[in-house]
Amino acid sequence: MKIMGLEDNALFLSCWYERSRPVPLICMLTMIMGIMFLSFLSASMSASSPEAMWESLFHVVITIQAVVLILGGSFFASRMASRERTSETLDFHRNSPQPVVDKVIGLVAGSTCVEWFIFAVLFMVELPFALLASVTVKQIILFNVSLILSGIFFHTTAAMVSLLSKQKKGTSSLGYIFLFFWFGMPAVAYAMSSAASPFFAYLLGSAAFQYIFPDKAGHLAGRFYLFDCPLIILQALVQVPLVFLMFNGLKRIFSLPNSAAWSKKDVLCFCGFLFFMVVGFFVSNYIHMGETLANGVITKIYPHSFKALLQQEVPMFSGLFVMAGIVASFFCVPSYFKRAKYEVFIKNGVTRDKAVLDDGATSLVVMLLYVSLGIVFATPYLFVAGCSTFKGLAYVIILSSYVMAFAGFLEYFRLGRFRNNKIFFMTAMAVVWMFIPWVAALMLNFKLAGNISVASISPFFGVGYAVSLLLESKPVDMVGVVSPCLVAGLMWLLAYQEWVAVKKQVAGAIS
Amino acid sequence: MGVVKVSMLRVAYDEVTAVSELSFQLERGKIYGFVGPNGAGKTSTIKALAGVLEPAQGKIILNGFDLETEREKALTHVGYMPDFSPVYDNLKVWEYLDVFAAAYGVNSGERAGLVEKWLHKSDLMVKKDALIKGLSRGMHQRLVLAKTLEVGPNILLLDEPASGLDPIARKQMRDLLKEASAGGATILISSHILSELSEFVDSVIILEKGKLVIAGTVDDIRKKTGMAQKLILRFTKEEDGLAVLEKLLQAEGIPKECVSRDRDHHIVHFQNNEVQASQFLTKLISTGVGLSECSLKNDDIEDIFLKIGAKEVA
Repeated sequence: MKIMGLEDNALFLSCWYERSRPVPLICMLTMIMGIMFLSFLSASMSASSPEAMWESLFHVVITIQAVVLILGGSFFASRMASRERTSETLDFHRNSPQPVVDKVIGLVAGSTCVEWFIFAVLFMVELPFALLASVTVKQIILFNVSLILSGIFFHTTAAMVSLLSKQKKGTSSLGYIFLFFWFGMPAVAYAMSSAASPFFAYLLGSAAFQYIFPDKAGHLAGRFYLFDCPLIILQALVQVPLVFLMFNGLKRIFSLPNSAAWSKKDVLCFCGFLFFMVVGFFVSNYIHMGETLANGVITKIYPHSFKALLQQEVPMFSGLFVMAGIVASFFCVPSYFKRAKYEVFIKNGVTRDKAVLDDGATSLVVMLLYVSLGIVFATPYLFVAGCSTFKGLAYVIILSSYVMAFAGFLEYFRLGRFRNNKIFFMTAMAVVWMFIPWVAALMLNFKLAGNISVASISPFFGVGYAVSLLLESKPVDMVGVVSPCLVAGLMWLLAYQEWVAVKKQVAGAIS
Repeated sequence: MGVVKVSMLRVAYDEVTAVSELSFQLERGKIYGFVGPNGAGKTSTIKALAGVLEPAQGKIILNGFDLETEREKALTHVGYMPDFSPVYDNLKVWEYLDVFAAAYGVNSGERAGLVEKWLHKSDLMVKKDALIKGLSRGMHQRLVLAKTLEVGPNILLLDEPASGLDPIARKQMRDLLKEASAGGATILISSHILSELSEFVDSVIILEKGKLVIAGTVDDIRKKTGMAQKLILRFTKEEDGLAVLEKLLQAEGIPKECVSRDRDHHIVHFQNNEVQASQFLTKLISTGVGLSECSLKNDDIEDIFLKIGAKEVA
């Protein structure tokens, strides 16, 4: 076990000892071998030719390989990370002098060591089947490299999500499983479909199966902006930066126990990366519009319509802009503790580098940077839609307002006296984003198909309204543009009030 | 030279301040008792020193390194044991010790011997291959203490290490801590069992409502706070003895409030005057009163804490 110093890595060892117990290992191997043996029997009885038999066996092996590495590995990465958190041994590792990078590698590699071992064994097993089934060596290697990338991405993500969770020891995780199947599966199905941006398909690693099943899973064209790229490069381009993001998050969890998992800089970089990728695939779709991919062959179909592409991509980008902004604000808005600490530093005259990106600094500047990024990346959509500058401006203002309103209210909530009552936050947001627009709509005899602008203070209606400005030839209603801005302004006024209050409290505590 | 330097430490949970403006310094090779009522901020301070809780303000220097800016170097030789025992339930006892030896940079070649040594020292050799989830609470404590001591840290932060231990294990723990201290380790130990602390700490830090009340050696504190001696008496015939005692107290001008009772023992408290106490005892014996038990003791940590801490709490 003399690999990368893992034999001296405490977190790796803690996982290794637990995972290398013979009984669960033998059970797992029995299951896999049982499936393979039965598949062999089934294939040998039903296959029309020897090649078909080897092919179906090869498919069984790669399916097991993918399931073990992606699902099994993610499950154990999540479980082991959760064990650290619930047993509070995480504190011992925080306290230990081991380099934080080693701790992260130890946790991720240790928790999934068995799955990686099985993956490697199955790789050796699948090779002869693949060659007998006339699958090329290049296909096998690309499939495995793709699976390795996805494995690393899913494992780090699973460990990260698990360490972020507030779930206490002994709490049932059935609810989470239910939620995953209820909401997660349709989302995964959508992401893998050809209707979604290729970004999600690369993110979920579906490129791997395109190498083996180009007929069935072949909707990825391997294009990005103006370039044609191998699928594996694009997959790496999508997944590797996210692995680094997760890695950074894990590092911060170990070294900064009271801080948000991601720094403001991490969040901004991630959002910029997300927009860059999604827009890149949109641009390539636009350039190569009308082309379809079947059996690895590109066919051009004329005439084609830009409208269909826009109707698919603009709502997706708009939703992403707002959703990513909301998620980003959870990490960028300072907690009361961080804000108070920041005020202490300022009061004591301690100058801090990059003060705007400090964990305790207000999220206002960072969220403004976020919306600026969003606006920059929205321009290709505005250009393709061919809308007027005024309409384009209205579109980005409406979308930015929701992000700013949410961040402003979250900052008010986290710094304010209700900060420990999450139900207050949820109720207040429901009032602003659901009840008020609903009531306003009722009062104005609102019909969904008619005047939507009155309800645009809520993103539930307003994103659709903003999208309709680009895709339909309706005039801009100033009420629909100004009202979300006013809400955002009001939220930041509330947040400002709390900044002042925290400053006073800190001054009082210090004096 | 201060191995641990804490200045203006403030630890806060939300707007509740657990510790404020706490400054102290710990010297090499000494054992410090960390004393205070529940909620005084002992655990918060220890967690902040161990780097598992971020302070809202203040500076912590461990082994000459700033914990905030040079975290890994500062924590290189720090052992931390929280007030409960975080363990991996599904690991074996030896595996647990092996994991944390690795965490402190002991290489694989040396770990087996080290683990064996500490299994012996902590009396866990018979449980070497047992899963941790099958151990009792006291054994958990011993295991976590062994994990903390095995790598020879020069700063030990122990939060209630004796809770859950039986008397034999407590004595073993004291011996292990004394040994570590003799080897140059600085130990900060918080405990509610104050009488036990008295036996082996060099100095005491008393906290109250997150603030430092007093710190120093037990003798220094005794002097500073005007604490002194207590004469513990047990008469063979209580009524006769009490009568003699009252007369003598009157003659010496000692107020009756200086006498307290603990079951059949009578305790006379003297305010920082050892001579007066011994003279009083001589006079008492010369009256010929029957004494079945008699001892003259200095106030211990418990007395000091009760007088300082309890007063503050009240």
